[in-house]
Amino acid sequence: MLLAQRCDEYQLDKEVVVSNKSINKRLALIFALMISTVNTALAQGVTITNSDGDAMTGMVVYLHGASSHQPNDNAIREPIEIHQNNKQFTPYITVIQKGYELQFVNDDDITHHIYSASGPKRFSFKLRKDNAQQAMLFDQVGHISMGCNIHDWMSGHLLVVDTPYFGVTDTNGFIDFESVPPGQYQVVIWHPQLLSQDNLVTVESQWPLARALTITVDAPMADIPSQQSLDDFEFLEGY
Amino acid sequence: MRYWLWMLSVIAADAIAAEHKFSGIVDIRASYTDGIDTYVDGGLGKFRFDQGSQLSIAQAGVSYELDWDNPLSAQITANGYLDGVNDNLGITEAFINYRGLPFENGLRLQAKFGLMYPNISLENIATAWSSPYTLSYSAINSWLGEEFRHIGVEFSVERLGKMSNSPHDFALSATLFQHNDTAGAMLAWHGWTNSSRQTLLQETLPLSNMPSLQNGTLTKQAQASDPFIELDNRLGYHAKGQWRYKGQGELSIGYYDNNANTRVVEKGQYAWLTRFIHIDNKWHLPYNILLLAQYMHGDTLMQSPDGRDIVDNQYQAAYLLLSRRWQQHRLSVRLEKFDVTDNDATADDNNNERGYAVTASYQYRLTKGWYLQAEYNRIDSIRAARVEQGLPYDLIEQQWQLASRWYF
Repeated sequence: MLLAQRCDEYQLDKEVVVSNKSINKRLALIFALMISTVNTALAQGVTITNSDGDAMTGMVVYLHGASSHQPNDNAIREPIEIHQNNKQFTPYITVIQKGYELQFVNDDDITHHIYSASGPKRFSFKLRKDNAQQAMLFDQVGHISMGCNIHDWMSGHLLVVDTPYFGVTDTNGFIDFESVPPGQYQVVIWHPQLLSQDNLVTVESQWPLARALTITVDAPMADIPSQQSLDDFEFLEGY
Repeated sequence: MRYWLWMLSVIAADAIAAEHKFSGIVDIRASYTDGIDTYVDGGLGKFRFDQGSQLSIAQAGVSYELDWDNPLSAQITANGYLDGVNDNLGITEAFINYRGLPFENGLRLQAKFGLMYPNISLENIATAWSSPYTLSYSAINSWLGEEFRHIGVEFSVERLGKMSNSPHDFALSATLFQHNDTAGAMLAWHGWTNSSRQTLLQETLPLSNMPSLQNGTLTKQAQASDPFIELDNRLGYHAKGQWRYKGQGELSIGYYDNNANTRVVEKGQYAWLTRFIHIDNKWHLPYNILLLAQYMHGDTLMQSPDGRDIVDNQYQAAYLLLSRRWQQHRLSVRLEKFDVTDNDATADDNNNERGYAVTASYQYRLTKGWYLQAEYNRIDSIRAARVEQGLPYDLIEQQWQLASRWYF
């Protein structure tokens, strides 16, 4: 396994206690309560770094375990949308749980011809200009690579997972996993440009976490393709 | 040709679940030309405007596209000119396009059928075959705009690298065509130009007042060339290979041969055997500079019905265009070199020519589709045939243009 596991201590509590002495007791109580909530949340999060210790942004992380296969009643999510915006798939990577519906929305004033070229679900449709939408249900897990047949530089990725515990790391390489039932989980890290077997690495972990988990991914990343046309003129006719 | 247009309109009318899209360009231009009368109207001037100043609708182009929900689309493009030289309006392209979805291995099949340009120009990529870079096109693409259009079918196979995480795309295309049998005549008789006109489907191209047409070798030649005529009922072909490197650029090489039977002549229209190789490179250089470079080298042959060579020319042209955009500003500079070498023994038809051209163009984007553009063109050439018509052998022609171009 190309992984090392590292744990960080959070020492916020100690600092807060020291500074509390001269403050009004009631205010201090509320403050301490807030801090401890933040601290608990941080403790249930995962931070992904590369071998240089830099935060890895935009990495898909999901948890696989005995209790991850039941739909989670708490996981009421916003409608998941993939936008065609400024001739780009936005976001570049989308993760959804198996059985959920996805909405494709065209924000551009031109038509896109969206297709999937590989993966468990094959589809293609022309998405007309100005907020045309197309809903689609994904009931099989797997990675779906998408493109636009009119604008070859556009590319997007969809990962369908069989767990309600998933997300994409933020700019600090952090992802929050709250309300995960106790148990043994596989933490899976995935990215289409991650140069490892099946573009993923996994690590075992026990939930709830005793302390915040930092996972170092040793596998290198390929360049993320820029979704940019060679031409920056807007009125091209495809000659 | 009319039959194919009729077919196209029948198929288009049968459209179900299709998107209709209009796009267009209106180019209003003030120009001043320091040169001689234009080749467009039977002169030997290398620009599209006559000597002096001119206010014109330099291009009113509109393109109508029908895009079905399947991989088919159809497009018809018309252009109009109101320029004081030759005011006219007509069809320039009409075709059906099939663009298949890529297979899992990255292969994609495409086909195009109808009235179209050979796929060569790197400059003319915008609405109605206009150029985003300069007002006047390079010599190579001005020639394509004037004498090249055909009715044919183009097949292409591409291999998209992104399916296999490769930055390399490859494409091969092959076209079979008819209706381009006189291509070469205008290059022989007026030489290379820097133009922004495209010949309309119904147009014929007047020849200059060459003495050989009146009482010399070319008395049987019509006074105007009909560029999109079919004379010999033979198929011509164009093959092209392309390599694209993701985010960086593309390199193409192609071969065109109209495969004309030079023994055929009808109503003064001779079939010209015209063949050339072209190499095209588009590349993103450091500092956000875009490079376009094209090279063309070929020959053209016109014979009498009994097989004597009347015109046997070799020609070549190359340009290098650098373009850079700073927000709403774009600056483009183009350098060109061109020549025609006359290899036949026809004494009263000397087509030798040699020249250089420089273009500098500044574009300012006012709103999303509205551009102001100022451009300077200079062509320095020597041409023997000018002397026969009392014009200088060695000539520098210059042109200043100021345009408002509105794209929609």
